[in-house]
Amino acid sequence: MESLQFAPFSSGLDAGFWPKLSEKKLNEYALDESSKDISGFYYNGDIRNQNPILNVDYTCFDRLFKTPARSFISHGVLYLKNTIEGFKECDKKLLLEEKANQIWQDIKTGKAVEDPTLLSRFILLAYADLKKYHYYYWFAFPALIYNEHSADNYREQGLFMKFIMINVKLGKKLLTSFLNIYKKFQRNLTLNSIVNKFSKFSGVFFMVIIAFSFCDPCTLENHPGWPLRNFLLLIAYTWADKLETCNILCFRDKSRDGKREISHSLMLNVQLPKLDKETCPKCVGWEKNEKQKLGPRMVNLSATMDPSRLCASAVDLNLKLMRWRLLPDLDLDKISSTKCLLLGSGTLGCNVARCLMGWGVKNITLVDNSKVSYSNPVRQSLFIFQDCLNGGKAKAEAAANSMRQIFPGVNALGLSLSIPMPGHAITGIFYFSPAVLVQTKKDIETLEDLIDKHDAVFLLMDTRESRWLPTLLGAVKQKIVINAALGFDTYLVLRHGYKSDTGVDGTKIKLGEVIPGDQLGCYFCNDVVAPGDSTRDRSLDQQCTVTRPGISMIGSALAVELLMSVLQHPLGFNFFQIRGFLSRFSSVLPASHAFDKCTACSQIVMETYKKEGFEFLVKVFNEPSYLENLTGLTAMHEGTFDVEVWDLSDEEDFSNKEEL
Amino acid sequence: DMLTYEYHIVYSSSYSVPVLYFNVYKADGKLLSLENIWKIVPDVYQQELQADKWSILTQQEHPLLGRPFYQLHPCHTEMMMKNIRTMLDKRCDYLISWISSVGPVVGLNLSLQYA
Repeated sequence: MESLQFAPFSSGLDAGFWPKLSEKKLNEYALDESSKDISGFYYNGDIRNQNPILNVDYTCFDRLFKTPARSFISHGVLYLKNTIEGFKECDKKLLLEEKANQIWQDIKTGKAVEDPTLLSRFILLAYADLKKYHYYYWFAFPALIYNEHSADNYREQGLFMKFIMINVKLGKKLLTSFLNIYKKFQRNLTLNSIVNKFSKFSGVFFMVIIAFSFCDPCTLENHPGWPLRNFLLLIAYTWADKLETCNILCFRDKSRDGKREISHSLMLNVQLPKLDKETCPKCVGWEKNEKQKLGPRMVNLSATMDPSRLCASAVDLNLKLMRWRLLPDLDLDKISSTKCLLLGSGTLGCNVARCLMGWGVKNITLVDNSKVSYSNPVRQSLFIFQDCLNGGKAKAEAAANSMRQIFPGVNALGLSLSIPMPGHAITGIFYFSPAVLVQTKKDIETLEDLIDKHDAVFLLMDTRESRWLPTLLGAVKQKIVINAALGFDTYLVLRHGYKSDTGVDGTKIKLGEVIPGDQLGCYFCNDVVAPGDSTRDRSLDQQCTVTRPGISMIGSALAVELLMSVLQHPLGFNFFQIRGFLSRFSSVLPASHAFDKCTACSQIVMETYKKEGFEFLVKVFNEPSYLENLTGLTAMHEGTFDVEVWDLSDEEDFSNKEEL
Repeated sequence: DMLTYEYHIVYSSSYSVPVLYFNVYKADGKLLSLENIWKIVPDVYQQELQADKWSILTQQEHPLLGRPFYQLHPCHTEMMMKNIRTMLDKRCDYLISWISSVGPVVGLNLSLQYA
C-alpha cells in the first residue's frame, strides 16, 4: 500500500474572462466587494499528460450557467477587491476556512450525497486595475484533509482491466440491464441505498465491481485528480462504519481521431481511516503561482484592452498595410518622427493637420493669433460650433484639443502667437509703446525657437507679408518649408529651396534645365517689391479669405503629400511649385530659380539677419522700403526706369544698361 | 506553459463562405500577439505566409462576441473551394473539405477518420 497523492488543479482562464469581469465591475458591482457566485468547469477528456485544469470563462457569471459538453461544474465564489491593498491584506486563511466549513456542513447534513457537485468548489480572489489593465488574481481549490490516504492501484489485475476495457456502448447496456434488475427490488436508487445494499457483499457481485466513481480531470498515470479529496472525505464520513476499504474508479474518457478510449482510467482500492466527525478538518488549496510559490498571479492586458493603445496600434497597422501592399520602401518611422510646425490654424491649417495625422505624424504644433468665429467650423475641419461661443476659443489651442480627441496618441500643441510682418509697424497704434516692442521681441524669439525645434514648417497664413519672417528663419535654419496659399478658385503649393551653405550663384541660371534643389526659389523670389501691408483699406470680401471650399482641401492635401514625397526622396517625383486652377480643373508645375535679390531668402538678407538680429527685423517691419534698398531692388527699379528713358531718347548709349 | 486554442466557424454573408475565427491564449487569459501567431504557423506554410502576411492572418472583432479574434481571411476561400470541389466528388461534405484545407494553417487538424 502506498500513500495516495492527488494532482492539484491549475486555473485556466479564457480570453473573454477579464473583459467580462471588467464590464461587470464597471457596470454592475461598482464598489461592492461582497462575494459573487460564479461557475467553473472541468473536463475528464484531456489527452495530454498533465495536471487537471479548472476552467473559468466569460460565461462564468451567468446565473443559468451551462457546462460545455462532457464537462462538469464547479461552484465558485468571486471576491473582487477595490484596491490592491484590499487584495493583499485580505485574510486568505479565513476565506479558505469559511469555504471548508461550507463543504463540511454539506457533508454532515447529507446534502453533498444528494448533490455531489457541492464538493467541487473554488475561490477566486481578484483585483482589477482598470486604468492600467493589470489583473491580480489568486485561485483556491479547497480540499479537506484528515489523514494520508493509502491505496492500492488495482489496474494491473486482469479482472478489473476487463471491466474497464468494455467499450462504452456495451457498458451502457450492462448498466441499464443491471439497473432494470435492481429496480425490481428497489424503487429508490440512491447512492446511500446502493451502498447499504452492497456493503454486505465483499468484492464481486454479478461479475461487476462496485466502485465509487468520479470523472477524473487528471491524466497522470499514477495519480488521481483533486476532486477525489473531498469525495473521499464524503465517503469516509457517510459510510466509514460500514466500509473499511472502498474501490474508486477515476473515470477518464478521451476521444482522439474519432476513437473513444477509457482504458487510461484508474481503479484504486482505498483504505478509509476513521474520522473525527465533530471537528471540521483542515483545508488546503491556494494555487501556487508561476514561480511555484504561494502567491498571486498578475496578467497585463493593456496591449489588447487599453483603448488608446488599441487605437494607436490600429492606426499603425493601417499605415503598415499601405507599406506592405503598395510601397515596400516607405520609411514610416521617418514620417512619424518628423516634427511639423503649422503657422496658421485656419482652413489650410486644419486640413493639413488632419492629413498629417492620417500619415501617422506624431508631433504637430499649431500657431495662430485669432479666435474661432462663427463662419469657421464649416470650412475649418478641426472646429465645432461649441468652439465659437463666448467670444470664441483661441484657434491654435482649440485645434490641438480637437486633434487629441481624434487620436489620443498625437502630440499636438497649440500656441497663440502673433507673427510680426513687414509693413506693419511695431509701434503702438497712436504712439510709440515700449511694451509692444518688448512683446514683439518675445514673439520673435518664440518663433525662432519653434522653427528650430521642428523639422518641417508649413506656411498657412492668410496674408503674403506674414510669411516673410518664417521664410527667412526657415532659410537660415535650413528647414523644410512648405508654403500653401489660396485664391478664390486657385491654389499655390510651393516648397522653398533648401539653402545649402554655398549660397546662390545668380549667374548660373539657364532656362529649360532642371534646377538643383538648393537653387530653387522661395515664395518671395519672384517679387520685385518687398511685401507690404496688404490689409489696409480692404473691403469685407477682401478681408476674409473667400474661396471655393474645395480649394483649401486640395491645397492642404497637396502640401502634405509634397512633404511626404520630399521625406521619401528619392522615391517618387517631387515638384517645386504647383499652381492649380479650379475653374479649369488644371494645374501647372513651374519651377523657378532663387533670386539673388529676394527680399526673404537672398544672401544679403540672411547675412544681415544673422549679424543684426532683432534690430534688423525692426527696421524691416517699420520701414517698407528698407528691404528693397538692402537687396538692391531699389537700384534695379531705377535701372528699369532708365531703360524706359533711354528707349525714348534718340541717342544710343549702352554703357549704363544692366543685365536683368 | 499551456496554450488554449479556440476555434469558431462563422458564416460571412459578404463573402458567402465560412470563415475560421480563432484565438490562442495562455492559462491567465492573455491572448498571443499577432507576431507569435505568425510564428506558430507550421513550417510548410511559412513561405507563403511571409509573402503575404497581412492578407492571410489578421485580427478582427468577432461578429457575435465583439472581442478581438484572429481570422483566416476569407477572400481566397471561394476560389479555393471551387477548385477543390471540381477536382473531387461533388458529394463530399463542404465543411469537411474546407476545414481540412484551411485548418492546418492554424493548428486545426482534422482526423483522417472524417474522410
